[in-house]
Amino acid sequence: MDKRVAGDLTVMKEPVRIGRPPLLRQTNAQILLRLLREAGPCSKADLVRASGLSAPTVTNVVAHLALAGLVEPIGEGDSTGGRPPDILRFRAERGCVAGVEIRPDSLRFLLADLDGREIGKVRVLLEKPSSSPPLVCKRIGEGVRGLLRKLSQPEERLLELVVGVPAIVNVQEGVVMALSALKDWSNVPLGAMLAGEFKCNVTIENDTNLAAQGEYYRGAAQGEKNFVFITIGEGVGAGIFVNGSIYRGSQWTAGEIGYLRVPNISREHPTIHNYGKLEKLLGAPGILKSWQANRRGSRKHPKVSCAADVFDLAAAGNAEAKRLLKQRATLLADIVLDLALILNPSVILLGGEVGNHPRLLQEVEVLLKGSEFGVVRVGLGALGHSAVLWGAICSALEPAVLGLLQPSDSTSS
Amino acid sequence: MSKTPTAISFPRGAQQRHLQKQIDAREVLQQLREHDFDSCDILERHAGLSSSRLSAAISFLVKKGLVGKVSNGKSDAGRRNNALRINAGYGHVVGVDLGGSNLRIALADMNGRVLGKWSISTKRTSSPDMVIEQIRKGVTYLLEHASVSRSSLLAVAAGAPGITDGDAGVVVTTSYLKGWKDVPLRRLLQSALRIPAAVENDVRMAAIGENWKGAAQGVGNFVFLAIGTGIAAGVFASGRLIHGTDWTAGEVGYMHVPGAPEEAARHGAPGSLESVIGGEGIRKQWLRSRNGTGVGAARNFTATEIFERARAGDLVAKGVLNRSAKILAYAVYNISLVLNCGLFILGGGVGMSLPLRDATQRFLEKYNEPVQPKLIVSSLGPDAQLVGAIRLALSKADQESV
Repeated sequence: MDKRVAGDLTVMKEPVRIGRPPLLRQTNAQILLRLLREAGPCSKADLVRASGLSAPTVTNVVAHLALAGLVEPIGEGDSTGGRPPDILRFRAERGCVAGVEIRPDSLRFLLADLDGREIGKVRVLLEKPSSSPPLVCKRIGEGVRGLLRKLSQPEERLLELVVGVPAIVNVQEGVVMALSALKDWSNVPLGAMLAGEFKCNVTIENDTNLAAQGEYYRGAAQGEKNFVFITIGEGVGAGIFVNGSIYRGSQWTAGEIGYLRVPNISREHPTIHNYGKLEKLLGAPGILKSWQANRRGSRKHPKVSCAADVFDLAAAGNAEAKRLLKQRATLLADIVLDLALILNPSVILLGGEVGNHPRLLQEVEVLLKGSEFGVVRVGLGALGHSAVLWGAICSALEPAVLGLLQPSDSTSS
Repeated sequence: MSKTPTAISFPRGAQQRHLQKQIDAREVLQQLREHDFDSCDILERHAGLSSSRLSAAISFLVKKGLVGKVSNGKSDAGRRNNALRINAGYGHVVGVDLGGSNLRIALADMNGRVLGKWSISTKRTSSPDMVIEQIRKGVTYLLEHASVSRSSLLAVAAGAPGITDGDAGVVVTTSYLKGWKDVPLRRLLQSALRIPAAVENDVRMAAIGENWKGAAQGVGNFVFLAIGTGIAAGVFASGRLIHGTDWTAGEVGYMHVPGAPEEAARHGAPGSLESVIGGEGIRKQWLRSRNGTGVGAARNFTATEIFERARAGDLVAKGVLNRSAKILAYAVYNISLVLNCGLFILGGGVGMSLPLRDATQRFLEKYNEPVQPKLIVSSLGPDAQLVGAIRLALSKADQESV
């Protein structure tokens, strides 16, 4: 009885769906599915032993799962004396889920089975000047259908689609609130628009939140219930995990750290307090701009094509690049410290084109070393640019399986 | 061939049904604690239970004597429509607020009505054993004066001024009480009072209090910011307190914001933010500025007094207030940005100062940025922690009873 009592003080709890389908059966089905997915094929007797459910209950639930097409017998196992037991397996091929990542210049697609195993992926370039919401929707429709066709998957098999967008997203309504990188994207009901393209469920989510989800699912944050994923690329943002799930805040903007006010910015530009100032400095364009600005002074200044090049030069010993790196690391260290103090996460992961540079991490670690408070492990994300897609797949899997269980549940009860 | 899955234990059959009833009953109790219900119908909607499960849970609670049906005078198509109330007299709980200077105890009934309060200075008697002894004395006193029998006590909860591990029931460290390091406060309370106990950090306890009876009633996302000698925050996110990995979430006294010093903090020394806008920091600001004017030595005012002087027109005090408000506004802004939280409750000796709140809110408005958190001064004041302790003790009692 030593559970954390304070954690149970739930206010504003969302109402649980009432009555049907029976909660217990649903829970039992999920328990057995989890066992089958994690442990691989096994017999009913194994399931009884491992779940603690009674044999009749397991028989009942297995029949229900078989009816939903989620479980099938694959022959007989080893006999331990009597009749050899039927071995059951989870039918991961019963359906598939798709993840889509919208980027300013391209769309990425990933298709996976119900075990979360990759079936196929593809990248489609966007015609930039005309990437209006209807066009992007059309491209997403074509992309997903094309991928399904290529893999000879009938469209009905697609159970869930999750889309990551580099913008603030009202997840409940499926509305993209503002996307500065693309034209005409403001209050776009993307969820509703895509629902017209597909028969399956569609969910829209912020891309950084999905990247955090991806790292939690199969990257560097596995098993971490409280962590933060900071992405630094074109922009700066953070995905926050609290008690094992994404924390979105009261208006979907939690983790918008690009607008933080940290000491070093104010010292450098005491009079400028622009909206998103930190983001402009720390993001890739800001780093390139600083580099070009300093370049005018010297002919020997090497040419760079992206922000990571600047950090590579710093690693190679270029003094100007080192100064720039140090400056950015100082800003990032302040962000890390603030996040650590407010949230006390077990780890803060860095990702994105700029954020995943090992030299930046090194520099930040040096800067944080002296502090005895807000101590936190800082590391790099493990999934690189596929973090968003894997986060999308992860969040699609559970609703996909639940969706298969629900209809037959209500007819049988 | 067949791999045996790792065993997980899960209740079965009758045990499972009983567990379901228990969970439902706790949910009903929880709802009754947060809202007043005129009829079971409203409760049904809020608890999200089917009517059969709801009535099973209710009759379970009624049979236990925890909940009583009260007629609300209305009838619905012949069916009597009853309101449900928690039986105040089912038992009693004790809330403890353990502060750096005072130990305060309250006795409350099952509805959270306070039957008596007791307090004593902890300035000289602050070792864990002495504090436990004082708590035992205080509880005995309160029971006698309220004519409540000791056997009706169901639970106790205590807030401690330091990093507190609620799962382990241990006060890990605190700079406000001498000799407190890894003190198993919950175990000590349990064996001293022979009732189940819960412990929590004092600022988070105050946040629980404000969420229950104070300025943040029914608000799922808010920050309780305590500014006294030190600065710390109790964060509610989606209706739950955030504790973090090592129970230190919300220790924002060490935050780096523009205008505050940036040296890495040493153990025992105040954090960057606290050193400027904690009680001591503000007094130092005042003494420095006032002595700089060369009009004789400055009087030693408290932070609140300095801010009141600012309101009355003292220019030096105004400077201190402005500087403090500006830095506090940065801190509030940064926290609200990270959490996307629109409501901040200010508490603590310095935080309760209205001139500080007003000046800080003005700075936040001047930033004119998309995030404009609202600042409210705590409505429970110094009682917030005690109220929170009672609420936590009630939760503990509910859990133990069902």
